[in-house]
Amino acid sequence: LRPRRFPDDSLLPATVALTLFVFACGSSGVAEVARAGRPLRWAMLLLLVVVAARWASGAEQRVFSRRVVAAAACFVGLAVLSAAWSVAPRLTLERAATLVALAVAAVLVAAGAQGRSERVLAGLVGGGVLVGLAGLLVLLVRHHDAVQAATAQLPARYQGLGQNPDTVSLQLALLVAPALWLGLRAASCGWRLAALAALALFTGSIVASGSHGATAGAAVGAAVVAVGVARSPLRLAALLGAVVVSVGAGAWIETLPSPNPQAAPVKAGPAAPPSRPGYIDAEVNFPLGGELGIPLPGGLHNRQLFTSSGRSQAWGGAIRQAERRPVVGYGFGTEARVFVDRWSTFTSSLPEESYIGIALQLGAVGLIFFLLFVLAVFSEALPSFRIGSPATACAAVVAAGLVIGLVQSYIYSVGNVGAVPWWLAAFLVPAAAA
Amino acid sequence: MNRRIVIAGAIVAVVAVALVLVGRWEGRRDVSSQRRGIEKMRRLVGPLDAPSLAGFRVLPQFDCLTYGRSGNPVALELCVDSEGRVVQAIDRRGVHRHFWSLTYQPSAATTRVDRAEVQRLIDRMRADS
Repeated sequence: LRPRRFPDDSLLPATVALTLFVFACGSSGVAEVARAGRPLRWAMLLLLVVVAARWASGAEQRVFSRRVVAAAACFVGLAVLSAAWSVAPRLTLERAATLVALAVAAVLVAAGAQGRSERVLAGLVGGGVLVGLAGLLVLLVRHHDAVQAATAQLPARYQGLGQNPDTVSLQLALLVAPALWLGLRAASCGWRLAALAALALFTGSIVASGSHGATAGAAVGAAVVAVGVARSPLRLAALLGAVVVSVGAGAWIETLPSPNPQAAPVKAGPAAPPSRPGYIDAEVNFPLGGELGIPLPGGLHNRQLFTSSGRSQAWGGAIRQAERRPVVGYGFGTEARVFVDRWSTFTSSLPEESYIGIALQLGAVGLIFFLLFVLAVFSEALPSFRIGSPATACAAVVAAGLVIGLVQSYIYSVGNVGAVPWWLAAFLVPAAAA
Repeated sequence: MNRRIVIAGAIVAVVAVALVLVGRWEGRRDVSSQRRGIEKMRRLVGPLDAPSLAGFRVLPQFDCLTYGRSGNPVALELCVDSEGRVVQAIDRRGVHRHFWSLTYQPSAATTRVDRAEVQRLIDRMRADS
């Protein structure tokens, strides 16, 4: 990983790392950090485009996968085009512009990555390390911002730098695969130890967050890396066994914290003025944001290993809504505007399912274009598969991201902490496989 | 080569135009279905100050009036934005609740009510007014 052409070989990985960190700051639970990070992340994205252009121009050979770029262009183009029928055209154009910028950055990074894709992977892992360490710092100095307090129903959960326990854990789950790959493949002992330390930081943060989706995504990413680096069936069995044992241990640890029955109920806003006799304040008795699925009196919602946080009901509602505009949806970037959370067991402004999110925004056509892009990425990786190739780590990030996409709305939302590493890794697959 | 580029460009343009037409048609169909539901609920309610007026809801985006049927004080609900557009209607008379909503595109709402009257009715029902 030692740079051959300073600063070009170091500048891009450093920018990638910083981009991941700034995006995580933009989604921070520490108000001051989030205030600074939110506008800064778009400047960082533009800087990434500029640095990636320099990185691509300095490459000995530029790699473009026509299939991957064409499939991505269909999806991104549809996002831009959807402003023509969007329920919020300006919002759609703004969101689509960020997706275009990210796609351009990812194409440029991939174009210059032949023979040095492991540097990009190191940059991704470096960004995760910054985010993980920043989370530990928040834990030290602002404990209440780093840990979501236990309630009567839910145990305490670590959120580190993130605004909730699922934020940073999503990003770190994507980065488990490249950290593991670098830990197994790095030439020097120092790099190997550093990568394994990063892996420990990522997995520790994920387990402490209690995020089931992140755990599943990290497990899939690690399993893909295991398949991609094992040179013998015995080694493959050992690596997969280690992944299964780690996931089992992590899942068991996640069940250990208990809810706090004595926890004070969450304070609502200022009490609504009472209504006159004979009339009711419907928002007090039947709140619009949670009138569906109110648990029966005495029925508590205790979180177990396989407990859903009400997602399945919300997904059903979001799918029914997507059916109203089934072909091309409501317009890119409008997910939060059109989705209405009416379920008492679900708390989010999004359906928390990336594929339903795509169907809502861009309909069946968007979903097909997205799946074509994913197929194009894997069709580039599989024919040129080599044991230990960095393409394995990139494909593992994509696979992990697709699994996490089943329980979180994020892949197409560029401001989300998981979008940048996912798109960079997806475009990197052909270059790393070349 | 040039011919292939022209053909590919023409195909992309045709597909793009088709998608825009489909998108707009879908949008019109959805909006008109929501409008019909909202209008039907508006007619079911009758006058806003009907004797069945049973409650209210005050939210940042819109305010709502609820009307009772068969002992259910929130059986019918109309939600009105600051410009008097009915942007959401809910029917809770049966086992299944039905929602008609244009909260994501209030400008498409065509059913209107007197916003001042809505405010007067809410004030009448609130004890602090």
